[in-house]
Amino acid sequence: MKRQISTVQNYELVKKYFINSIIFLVICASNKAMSYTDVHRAFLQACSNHGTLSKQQALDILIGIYARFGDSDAIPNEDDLVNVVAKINERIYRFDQKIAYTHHEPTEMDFFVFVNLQESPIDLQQNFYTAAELHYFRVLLRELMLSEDHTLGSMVCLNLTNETAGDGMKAVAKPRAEQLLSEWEQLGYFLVLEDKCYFGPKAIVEFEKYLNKNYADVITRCCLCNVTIFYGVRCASCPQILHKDCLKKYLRRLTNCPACKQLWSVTL
Amino acid sequence: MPRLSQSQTQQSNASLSTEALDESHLIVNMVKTILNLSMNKSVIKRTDISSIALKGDSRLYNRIMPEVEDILQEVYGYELIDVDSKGQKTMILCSTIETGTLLELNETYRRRYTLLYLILGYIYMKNGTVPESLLWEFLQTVGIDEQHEHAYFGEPKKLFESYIKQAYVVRFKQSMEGMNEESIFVSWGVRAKHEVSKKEMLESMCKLMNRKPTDFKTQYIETQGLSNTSSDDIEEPE
Repeated sequence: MKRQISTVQNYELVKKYFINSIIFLVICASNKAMSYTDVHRAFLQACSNHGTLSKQQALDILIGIYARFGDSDAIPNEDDLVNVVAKINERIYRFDQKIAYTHHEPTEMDFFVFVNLQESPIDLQQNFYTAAELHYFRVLLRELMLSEDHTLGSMVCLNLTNETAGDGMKAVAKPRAEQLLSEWEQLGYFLVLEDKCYFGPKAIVEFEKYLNKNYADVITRCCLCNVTIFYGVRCASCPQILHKDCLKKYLRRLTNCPACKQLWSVTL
Repeated sequence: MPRLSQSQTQQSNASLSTEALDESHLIVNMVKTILNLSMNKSVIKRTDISSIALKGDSRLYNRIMPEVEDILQEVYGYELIDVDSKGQKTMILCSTIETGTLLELNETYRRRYTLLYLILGYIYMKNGTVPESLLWEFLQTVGIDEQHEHAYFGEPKKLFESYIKQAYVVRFKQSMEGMNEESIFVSWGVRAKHEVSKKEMLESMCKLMNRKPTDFKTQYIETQGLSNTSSDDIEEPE
């Protein structure tokens, strides 16, 4: 026999269910918004030690950290990684620091980069590199910026040390330059692929403002997403470069270059 | 005494809140400065922090430092540890979190740490103090030569000097029994004492030697947090 629930009872049930689910969601949210623990501190230290981490590296490290400092047997997944980073960013924002998530075109990989967002004298204060070495870094940035396709041969990079002499500073020695390039590559400032040097993910994020300011006439933006672009796909008929992903999405609907409107002919 | 007019009160209130803002700004500067100067883990001087972050106003240092230390601990997991130095107040920024896996370090650090742990382990098993010459003799037996570049670790001498600069290892003179002149000894530095777990060190060394931690009485007692007062029946590792 079918039991007929009256409309009023039905409404009460729905209300109870609704309230319970809200309570459930709030509890879940507050659990997810977990307090700031050694998990966050350890991950922050790891990020700052590495400078740049691929998504997989970051996840592996977080798994190890959870095993040591987590309060349960849970193995973190990508969502947890995003949450941990977000929580850390809330705290370090005040000190002009951030763990940024960025896509790096030359490697087509995603990276987490630990960056300093400001360039005031206090932020530039360091005792790690000499003045000549810092100058070498800026020269590399400049030459990468001004070169076609923003790449330089490895030998060219080493020879740029010749520019670092002057004003009482001794030029950076070639062996030291090799060491520096290797260090900076590890930190994610540069990337060497098949003997060619590119901007690394950390340089792209950390120096975006600097490069936009000092090289405004050379810098290009992807006309689809309006974000600064260094590496991407070039149109065969016009000088426009576009992000591969931006272009893929666009070409699903249309077949011409978004800039010059000629038929798109370059294979992706 | 005339009461402050409303505008005067407002002004003093305004200056109070700008004071608070200034202090907040100074706190941020100090945190940033300490982090930047500690990038290579070297010893930092109070005077440097004052002159860079507080524009030389060292009176503010004591007032602001507690909050700065709080932030370093709470957000970053670091603490400032005093280091003995002639005259000047110096300190190092140590991690309060033990490095668990080598994954958390980048490749350069991994190599540095491996050599460092080898050295710290040897010193530890030799009861905490060892003539520097003996240390190098030991490293020689595992293929690390003081004067020659090592394929994996790099330049051992240079690395060793950097460990001293970073307060992992401390070098001092002491007179050895039966010798007229003083010899150079090395032992764990302030940073090692804070950042390296003696328990884990003993366990690792025991794994290498296929022994139990309890075989090494002095070292084992140290890991239990008690100091070893009697030095009579200490078992020395071979």
